[in-house]
Amino acid sequence: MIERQRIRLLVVAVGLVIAVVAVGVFVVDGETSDPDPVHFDDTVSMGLALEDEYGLEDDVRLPRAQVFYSQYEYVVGYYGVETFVASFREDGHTDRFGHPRTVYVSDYSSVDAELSAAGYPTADREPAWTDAESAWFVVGSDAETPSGETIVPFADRDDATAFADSHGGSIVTWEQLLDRDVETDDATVVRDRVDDQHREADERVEDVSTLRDRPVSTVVGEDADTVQEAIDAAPENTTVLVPDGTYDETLEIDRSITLRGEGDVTIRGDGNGTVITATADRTAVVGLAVAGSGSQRQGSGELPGDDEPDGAWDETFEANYAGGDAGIGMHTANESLIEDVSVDSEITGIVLRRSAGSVVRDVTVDSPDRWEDGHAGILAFHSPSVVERVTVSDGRDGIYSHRSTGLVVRDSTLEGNRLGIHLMHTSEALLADNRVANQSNTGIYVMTGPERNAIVNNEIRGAEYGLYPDGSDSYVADNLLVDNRVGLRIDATGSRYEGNVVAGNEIGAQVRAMLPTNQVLENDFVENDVHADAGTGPLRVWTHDGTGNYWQGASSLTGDRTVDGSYSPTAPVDRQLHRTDGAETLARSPALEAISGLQGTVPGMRTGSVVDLAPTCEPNNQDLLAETPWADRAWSCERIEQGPSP
Amino acid sequence: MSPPESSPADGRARTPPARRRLLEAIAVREIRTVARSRSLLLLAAALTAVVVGVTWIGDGFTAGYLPSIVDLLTPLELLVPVVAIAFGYRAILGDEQRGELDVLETYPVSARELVVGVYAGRAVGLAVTIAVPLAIAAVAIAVGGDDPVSVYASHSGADSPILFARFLVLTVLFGLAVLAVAIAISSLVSATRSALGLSVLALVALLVGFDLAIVYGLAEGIVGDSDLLYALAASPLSAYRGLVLETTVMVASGTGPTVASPVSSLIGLALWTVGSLAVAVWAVGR
Repeated sequence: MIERQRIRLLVVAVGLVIAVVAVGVFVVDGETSDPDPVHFDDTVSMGLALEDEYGLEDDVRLPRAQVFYSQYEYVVGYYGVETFVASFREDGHTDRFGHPRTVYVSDYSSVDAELSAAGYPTADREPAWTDAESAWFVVGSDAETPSGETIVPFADRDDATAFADSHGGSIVTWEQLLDRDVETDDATVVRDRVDDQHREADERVEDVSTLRDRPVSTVVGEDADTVQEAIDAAPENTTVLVPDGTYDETLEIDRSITLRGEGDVTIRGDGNGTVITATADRTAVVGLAVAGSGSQRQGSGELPGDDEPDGAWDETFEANYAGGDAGIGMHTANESLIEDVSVDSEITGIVLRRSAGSVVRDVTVDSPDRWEDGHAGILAFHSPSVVERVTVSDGRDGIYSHRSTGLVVRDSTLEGNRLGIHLMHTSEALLADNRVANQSNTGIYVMTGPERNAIVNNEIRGAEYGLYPDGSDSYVADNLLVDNRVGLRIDATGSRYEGNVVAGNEIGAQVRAMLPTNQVLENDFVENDVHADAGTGPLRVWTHDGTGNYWQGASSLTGDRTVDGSYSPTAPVDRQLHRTDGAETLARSPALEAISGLQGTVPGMRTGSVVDLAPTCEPNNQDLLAETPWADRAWSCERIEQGPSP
Repeated sequence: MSPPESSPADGRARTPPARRRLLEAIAVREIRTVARSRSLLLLAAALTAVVVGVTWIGDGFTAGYLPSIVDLLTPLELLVPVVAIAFGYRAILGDEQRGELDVLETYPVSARELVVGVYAGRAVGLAVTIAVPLAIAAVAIAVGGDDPVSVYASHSGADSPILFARFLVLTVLFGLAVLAVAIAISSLVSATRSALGLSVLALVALLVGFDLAIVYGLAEGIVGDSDLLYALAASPLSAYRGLVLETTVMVASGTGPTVASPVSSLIGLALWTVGSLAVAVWAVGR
């Protein structure tokens, strides 16, 4: 009897506990308390190119923000509070990251802030972090980051007022700040820039092309015995004409002249150093072949040219890379022209160093057969220039660029190099209409986190990695990526990938970017073993403004020319749809559909996957696709014949 | 082993403890029946497999609690009613068929006590059947989460086991509401075949019918835009879905229109439970 009583009591007690817990879980707040700020270096950061970061003085303290999102497991760091505000105001930001639960900003009340000559905030130490919601923000002041005007946060309103009094600007609260339109140059700005950049490059070419038409003052063989003597005798702004023949000489051009070959002209060095070295602005080398340079990859000692060492962070790189032996070396020769030239390269074909505004066109560089023996076909170092209609084969790097902001490479052919085009610390470049075939490593490789590059209309075949852009806010469009191991490697963030045809690769697109901030739309994925593959990081939603991509295999039974439901190239069944018979039947099982129905929700918490919420029914780029053998394999999603249209 | 408090407790009133014991006996008998039933055990195992499987396919073990909730929501909306009906549709009918109802009628037990007792007993079984697979999933998520890339600072965001606990509680409540419907069916019919038929009918109505009715009402303007939140409470499935979304997913996604009126959804589920039990009481008392 008593035993029963006890059991009964126990049952009642257990029941009560369960009831209390059951109610309790709804009463307690699911969210944990505010996290503490973390070291900025530990955040997944954005808003500053590596090149700019390296270039900052030691005492510069740029305003920063770090954000803890409800659905993104990494802390996101922003250089410039305005970078966060702009991202936050973008469509779909909350869908991808959840809402910002806690935001910390640099607190300039905690330091004595000054502005450097460039307008960068400086202080003797890093500002402390303060909660953004209670901070005061000075907008429209003289303060800047390398990306432009910046917002300066203060915990104390009086400090903000004092700052605004001396450096201009007005004071707003966090709420007011989030309501402001903040302009940043994102990927769509890059897209809109492409035509202008082509036009500017045309103008550049037109301007420099006049160098060809300088009057002939000296003819080799008539006015002088050797080419070098002719160069030394020629007045500035005239042409040295080199008649048919092979000239065993090593040349130095230190005045603004044009060296023009007539007929079959070869300048052959003695296997030491650079064959033709030019150090004057507006130098032109036209219509000749160059051979016989030395084969030192790394330079040592002083570089040619009239610049003084400026102690920049990349000084050693510069001496090593741009000081190596080459067919033609242009140093501090701005607005120069190399046209109709072929280089039989021993190590590097052409070096442009601190030669901004130059043009290299109709040039052929043959590198040593083994890429290990070569360096670069064309090497641009601190030389925003135009490279067009060049052919580089068998090199280590076909075209290599270092800190050449605004470089244009177009209509060129790169064949059998290790890397076709290789950009280091080069922002705002335009790589367009190039044919890149059979690079043993990577077709186009953009490294070191630059910003706002445009990579359009290139055709890349047969590489380990076809197109491998890094950095942010770039525009990657209308490229044809075929027969590579990995067609498109996505490391760049905040970038727009559209209209690319990714076909016949082992892996169509491989995503490694940690931030889910890319716009991926209207690309066509056809006949890849795997259309896409994703690494660590949140679910990537490859749909922008309701437009997705064409995935060979995604299908429709509804007859409305839209794919039924979403498509996930990383899901076990979807990824087989285009190459395994029966996968479609399995994909339509209620069990899978029940799960996939909500696939796009809480993307920030899912890892290692890609989903397209609105796949397109037909390929988006039929013309480009027609250049592959698989145009007829890119079938429409429609499985049911459409009735007559109403 | 005899505490002194026991005597006053015993002497307080003779009839209520006796009745309570009767109720308890019925409930305990139901628990035993459920525990002994091989088919229900099999059902429980199947549910466990589905829950664990869905969590695995959706990569929930590595992704966390909230993504798992989202993955599990639709499958459970469909499966929990099936399981609940299986638990209840023969409960009272079985008693009747075996003649136990006739036996019970010789005891001083009212129809209400019988129904509540049967319901309570089966409810314990059902609650355990639903809670255990979800608890297993929760443990798997807790230990199975892949470590974030360590070079970056990470945090758990809005994800939390609390959210999963809410989901578990709501799923059990949802199951209990459908169980009451099953008990009502069981008390209304007189043969196994008709019990099966009526159960299938009830399932179709629950799984599809009510939601479609709301859609129709909305499309035809019978349900006004401002009434939708309350109309949703009338369908157990929608009430459950709304409650889950409101108390878990919305915590992480923040802004946007309200997805449910929690109070009316809870009232809706409660009305379904109480109403169904009342029907059962009436039917048994016939």
